[in-house]
Amino acid sequence: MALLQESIDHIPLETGFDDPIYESQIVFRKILKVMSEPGTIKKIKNKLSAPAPMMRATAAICLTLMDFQTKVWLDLPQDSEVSKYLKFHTGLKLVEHSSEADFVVFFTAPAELPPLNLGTDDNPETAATVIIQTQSLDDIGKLKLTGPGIKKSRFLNAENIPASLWDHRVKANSLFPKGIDIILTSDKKLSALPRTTKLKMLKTIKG
Amino acid sequence: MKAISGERKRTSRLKEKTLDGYNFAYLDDQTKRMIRRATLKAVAIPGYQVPFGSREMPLPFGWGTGGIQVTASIIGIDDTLKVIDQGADDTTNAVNIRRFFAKTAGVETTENTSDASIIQTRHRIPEVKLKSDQIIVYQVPIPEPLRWIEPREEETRKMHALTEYGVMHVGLYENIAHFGKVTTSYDYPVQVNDHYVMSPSPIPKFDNPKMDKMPALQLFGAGREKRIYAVPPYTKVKSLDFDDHPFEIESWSECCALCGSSSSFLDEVITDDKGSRMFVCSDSNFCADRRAKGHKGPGLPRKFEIKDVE
Ligand SMILES: [Zn+2]
Repeated sequence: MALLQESIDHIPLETGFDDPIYESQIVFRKILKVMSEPGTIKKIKNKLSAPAPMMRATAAICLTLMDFQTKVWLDLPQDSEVSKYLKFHTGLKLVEHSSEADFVVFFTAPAELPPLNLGTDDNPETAATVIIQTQSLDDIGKLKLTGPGIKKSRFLNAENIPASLWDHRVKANSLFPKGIDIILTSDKKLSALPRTTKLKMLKTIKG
Repeated sequence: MKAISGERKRTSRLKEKTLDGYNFAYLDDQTKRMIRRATLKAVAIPGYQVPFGSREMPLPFGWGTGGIQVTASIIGIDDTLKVIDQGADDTTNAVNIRRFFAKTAGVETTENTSDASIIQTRHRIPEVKLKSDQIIVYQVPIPEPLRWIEPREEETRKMHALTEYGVMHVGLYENIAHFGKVTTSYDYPVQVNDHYVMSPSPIPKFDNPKMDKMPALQLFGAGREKRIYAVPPYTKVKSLDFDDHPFEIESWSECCALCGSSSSFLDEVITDDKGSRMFVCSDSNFCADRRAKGHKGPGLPRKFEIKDVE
């Protein structure tokens, strides 16, 4: 009984997808859209609930892409409610070191990137996908984006991301094809910055 | 007491329209997740061939199992699917694949290029310009453009990583030296975003310029060799060429005998058992659409017409 009680304790109250096959396909197409057209913002409509501090878009992305084959690092303790929720709903493997992970999730945008798997020249696809939660996400941008998937340029504003993080991203992506692919989330919104996207921070002139 | 989502018994919206006993779009969710992750990396590294764990499909290799697995992993009930084989919607291959997805995914199908959200193709890109939010999925038999020069996988991987494509250029140049022009008219290699050299699958080189800065997302699936690669929208795709021998596409002195088009890729077809021939659009939907709008070609060859009168 004690064992049963313990395993019931591990069942999170927060729900995943109502209809996993149907919902994960819709969420995947949104991820595919933002990854292939960097800076585009999409919104998820799923009714899932996620334990704090996980935002709904972050939860939807994790439930869509993660399973027992994916190694995941979170900027939260391994016994956090979020860890329990993701383990229960996806069966993912949590890893201790960020450098071992296929997916790295920052629930708070960091000032610098920890050691990450950048892939190799021969197998650049093994590089980490980095999910970062932000306070807000819109196209009234300070960031000017150019590169594949962008017709001329696109603008993006991701609030509360330390400027130093963008410098770290440049460094991580300096040896193409190695690099990291970032998915930004904010509440129900998502956008992406694959390794090929060039970022330029526009200056503000007060007049 | 909250319901536990994992145990909740509920009819999936997908099951209402599809065959009982099948996974939605045939593949199980675990396989789809694996292919979806590979697809995202393919998009993030334009032109790079991402290895994936290809699954057995209920069709033999050569029937586009790679393209089918890609389509199965991205398709949803709101999609409208078009399938073409060498430009035509009505070949056995195209009809079978369309039927496969109509049965296992319950999706709408169409022959009209502009109405499709996903276009799966073997050996052609439609003549009508593809739009943003459309996805074209190519069936790829041989994904490695350097294989004919270098049989070893670890070597071709290195050549790609370092963009060491000198041998490829030498090979094409020798082609010119022998024949006076580049005779490779199908599967003509392209360079994506100034890095990876990529096989566009056996489309005629006539279609190569359509890949450049295309507003639609281009996905490529090779089933036997287990590779997925991609070109995001608005991405530079350049056909390899030389200063003294610029890249050229096929052209015809004739126009389409049926619709009069002089801008489409033409197939030469035989119209009777006496060997009468004519040129017609390879893209059957494009040709039918033009005829429906009143465009007319010069018609059948004269010999055929006389025979017809008799
Ligand atoms: Zn025609």
